[in-house]
Formats: sequence, C-alpha cells, structure tokens
Amino acid sequence: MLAPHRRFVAWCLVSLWVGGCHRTSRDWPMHRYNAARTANQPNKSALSDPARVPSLHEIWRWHPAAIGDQDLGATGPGFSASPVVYRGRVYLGHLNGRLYALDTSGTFLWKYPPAGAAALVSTSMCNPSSPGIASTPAIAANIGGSPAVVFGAPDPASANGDGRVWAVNATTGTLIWRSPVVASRFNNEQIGYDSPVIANGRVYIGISNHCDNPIIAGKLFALDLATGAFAPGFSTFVASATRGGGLWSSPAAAQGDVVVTTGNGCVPTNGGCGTEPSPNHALSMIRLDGTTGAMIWKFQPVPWALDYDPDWAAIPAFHAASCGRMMTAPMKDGYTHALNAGPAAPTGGDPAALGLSLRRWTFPQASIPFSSGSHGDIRYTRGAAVWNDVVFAVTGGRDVTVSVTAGYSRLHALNACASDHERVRWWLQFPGYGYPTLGSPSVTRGIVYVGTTTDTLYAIADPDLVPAAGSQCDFPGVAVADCAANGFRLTPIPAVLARVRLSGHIRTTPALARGWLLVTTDAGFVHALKP
Amino acid sequence: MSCIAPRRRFGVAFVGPIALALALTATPWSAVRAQVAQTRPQQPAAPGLVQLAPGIMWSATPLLVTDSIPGQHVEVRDLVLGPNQSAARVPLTGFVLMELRSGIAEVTTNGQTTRREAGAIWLVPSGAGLAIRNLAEVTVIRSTLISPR
Repeated sequence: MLAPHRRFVAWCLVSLWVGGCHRTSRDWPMHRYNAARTANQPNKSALSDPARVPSLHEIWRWHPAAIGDQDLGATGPGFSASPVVYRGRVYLGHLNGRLYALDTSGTFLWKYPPAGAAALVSTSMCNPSSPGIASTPAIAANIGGSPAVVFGAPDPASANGDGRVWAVNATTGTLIWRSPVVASRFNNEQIGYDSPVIANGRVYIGISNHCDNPIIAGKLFALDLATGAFAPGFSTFVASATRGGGLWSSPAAAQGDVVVTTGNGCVPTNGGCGTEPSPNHALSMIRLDGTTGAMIWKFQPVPWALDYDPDWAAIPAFHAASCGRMMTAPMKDGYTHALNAGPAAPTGGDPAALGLSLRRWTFPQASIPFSSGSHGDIRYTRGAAVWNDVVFAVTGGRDVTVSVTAGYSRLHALNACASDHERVRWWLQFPGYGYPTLGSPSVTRGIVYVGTTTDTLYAIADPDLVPAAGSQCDFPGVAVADCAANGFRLTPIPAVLARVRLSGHIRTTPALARGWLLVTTDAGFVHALKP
Repeated sequence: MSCIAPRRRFGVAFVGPIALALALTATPWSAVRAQVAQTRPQQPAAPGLVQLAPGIMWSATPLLVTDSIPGQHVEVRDLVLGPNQSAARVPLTGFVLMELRSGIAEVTTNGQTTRREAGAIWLVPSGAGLAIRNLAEVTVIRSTLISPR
C-alpha cells in the first residue's frame, strides 16, 4: 500500500496522460462536474455504494418562494440550469433571473442580484433558455483572493437582455466583475443554456440565439478570469460566414484546448441561405486552440444538404478510455459520435478532413458523413456521462431508423472501446414519455443517476457492480428467443437501485458531491438527497 | 430556508450512525436484489419485430395499413437484418416499394443483384423472387406492400 503522498504522485502520473495533475474534486464545481464535462464523480461516497443507494431519499427541498421570489408563471417556471456544489454550498441559477446560494442543509445564504436590484432577465421568452438564468454556473477557485461563481445571464439594463458573463464572490454574493456584452439582444443573440468553462486562466462561453428567429452565427468567446475582459490573443470563434452554428450546449476544455458542438446552419428554410455559407461550421464538433482560438479540427457528420435542424446541442465529454482519449456527444438526430482527441494544436492541414479521420465510432453504426436519412430537430440534447470505458447516453438505439424517438425513454451504456457489434453494454427502458423523457445522466463509480419527466430520479447500477436483473436483446423490440439467431447480442438489464419521486420534470444534471445528490426541476425546486 | 423540515442531517446520536453503517455494510446481495426488484423500470411488453423468414425480421404489426385505395391493400412494415444475416427468400406479396433507411444491403431480385446503401429507394415487382444480404452492422428497410384486395 502506497503512502498517501505517493499515491497522489502515482495518480498524477496517470492524470498527466489526460492533461492535468490535480486532485479530483469531491464537490461538483461546474456543469457536468469538470472542465472535461465527464459528469463522473470519481470519489467514493454513499452514492457510489450499491449497498447503501437503495435507501436514497430526500433530505430537503428548496423553492425561491421560500424567500418571496417568484417563478415566471406563464413563461415556464423553474430551473433550466443544474446546481453546482463547492465547499458546503450549493449554487444555482433560476429562470426568474436570480442566482442563489444555499448551504447543504438547504438554508438560503444569498442571492444575486440582491433583493431590491433588478433580476437578470430578458424580454425574450421564447423557450426555457431565454427568460432568465439557464446557464449552469462554474466555480473559480480564486478571483481576487476569493472563490467566485461565474455564470452567463441576460442584463436587463442593456438592451433588455444583452448576454454577459458575471463573476460573483462565492462567500458574500457580491459582484466581482461583469463582462462586456457577448450576446447582443439587438442581433437576437443569447447565452441561454451555455455554461462557462474555466481553464487556462480564462472563461470560455458560447452563444446561440432566441429560438432561431432569426438564426444567428454562433460564437465562442474567451474572457480573462481575473477581470472579465476579452482575453488578449484569442480570436473569437464564429461558426458561419452568415448565420447558423449556434452554441446551444457548453464548451468543454482539456489539454489547453476547447471543444464545442454547434447547432443548425443557415438553409433556405431557416436563415434564407440558398447556398451553403462558406465557412459553415454548423452541426459540428470542433476543437479550438485554447490560446488563440484557431480551429484544430472539425467533425461535421451531417452535411448542409441534409440540415433539417439536427442541432448538435449536447455537451461534448472528453474522456480517457483505455483505448485512447476521445470526445463523445450525442447529436439531436439520435446518433452518438466518438472521436479521437487528435492533435492539441493546428496542423496546417484541412481541419474538416482531419476531423473526419479522427472519428472512432458512431452509434448506431453508420457511414459518415451521412448521405441520406432523416436529420431533423429530434430532441437528443443530453450530454453523455463517462466512466472508465463506458459512455452513458440518452441516444437513439440500434433501431433509430425504425423509431427515431424511441430512445427518448432509454438510457444506453455504450462500450467506448469495443467493436460496433459489441457497442451496446446495456440499455434500459423507462416509463413515461417526454421530449425526451430522460434528463442528463451523472455517474459515480458505476452507479448512474438520471431524472425523468415522470418527476422521478433513478439510480442504476452497472452490472459490474450489481448482478443484472435479467437480459434482453441489444436491438430493442427483438425477443430474447430471436436475438442470437438474428445476429444480435443478449445484453444485461441493469439493476435499478433506487427511484425517488420529486417535484417536477427533471431535465437537468444531478450533482454528486460528498455523498449528496442535488438536482433541480422545472417545478422550481432544488432537491437534496442522500442514501 | 427549507420548505420541508430537514431530515436529520448528521444523525441524532453517535451510536446510531455506526450501527447503521455496520448494518449497511453487512447488507447481503439478496437484500439489495429484493429492493432492486421493487424498483425495476418497465420493459417493452411485446416484441416489435418478429421473424419473417430465416435471416430477416419484420414489424410485428404494420406501421400503416389501409384499404382506402380502390382494390388495393397497403401495408408499411420495417424489414430488419442483423449482423451477418442474409435471407435467401423474402416472402412478400404484391408490389413492394423499399427504402433502405440504414445499413448496406445486397438485394437480389429475380436473379439480378444490386448493392443498396442508405437512402436508396426501389421497387420489387409483384411475384419477384427476392433475396437480401446485410453488408453492414444492421440493415433496416422500410417497405410499402401493395397487393390486390
């Protein structure tokens, strides 16, 4: 047994391979846990103990009405953003335009803007990304000597909702800085769901638009973490020569670089483009140099001619599997793509050709770029969680071309390093129907937590941890008796360790911190659960 | 402020949590399984695909069925071939309009073989002998079957 400091050194040697040498946080300090957006809490806790998880139950719940704040009524109440947890505090932004800080007993600590100051709301109310704070915050360990909460929000004092990034003292809730405008209300731009990622002494954040009416060119900005000013030397990434390519998800960061996914492009029926813009970086996963903003590679599986609005709206996850570093994200059309991480700096070659060459797999298996098929505004928008060599995703299944929406109610576990034939590790059908039914999954040491539109939070154990509850064919709809005879594989049905009824639809990501699970609902509650 | 009373944050007594921890760490898998059985989500009740012929499956029920065209019966079903599967005889009746929705297939109609890729659309004449070989991981063909009533 190694002494603790030697274990840390050994761990560092391993983690250097991923891109950094730091202890993994027992907190959940940003959207999807870390800058790599793995949604994977690697530290042991009661939430990772399959013997204890069945006792998962609610400890407390909190609603802004407890301090006299209102939901937004007809515009869609509740939370679009997920909570983050840092040093015994919970931080969360609400569509009513307030960022709240609570302690882990559910006691309100402060809000920003404070009482008496105008909430951070926009006059645009077109969907749950627009009216208030839909951006999950990120914790910066030190801005001016204090931890800070960094988030994107509309500024009501600026053109009725120009988008800015805000940094607030995590202890006191006082403003540290407010960025220049990054999303112009006049140009129909918004930060929306985009959550900042903090890396390289910078804050990276993307913008999209209000409901494609009209569509605008997506952009990625880099801000100086200390001041909030635009970072010198970084050329803002712009996704289109004209319109399109909104950043509806959030950037990931690793190895000094930034990875983004982009939304639909400018086409005749949306944006009025009779020909493809040049450049057109819509519907792509893109790796950018974190220092300069230069494009390293671009992977664009759906060409302009097939762009019927299959936004790439799921956040990319950067993970170190045993077969290599890769980036994985489901796309709205139901396909999930995994790419090798590739070079960390521009090569001088064609970024699009390089991106295509880096494709590791597509699930379900397909020839890429697509030359046909339905690639529309289907709602596979949830980011994947990754654990070891397993990707947990809300994605279309092997039957995606039979029933494109059937995956709304399924969680898939995909073997990241296996052949296409063995890609499905398991899948699980959930009750109910949603758009999609499932929220974004989180994982801790093989136990997956995911919420649903049936207002229920589930805990599911990978069969490596708890014996399977049965088996089923990896191709949904095929009976067990017919499975092998038709070339398919029987896969385990994972055990569901717990399900807990909560206050409303759960579209967000459960935060897993020090044995606590924090999750928000569209009913406007944040719930705290423990085994 | 909490809207419901917080349940015991850190335990009410010193002995209680220790006893609870010991009990939990001693929980046998059978007990976990019993709890798991109570929380299992639903699984599909009936298979959506059934065997049409060796090597090929199709929708157990039509995606669409209509007799609204005078003298014709129309059904839409999906044909599915799994990995390494081939069907030497696909027993369909009437004219069949086929669309290859995903995968790659080698389709033989009346002895003539054509490689079809995703997006391809073709017609199989009534009474034609039809064989299909899957060249991809999975091939899905949406088929509109038109037969006289």
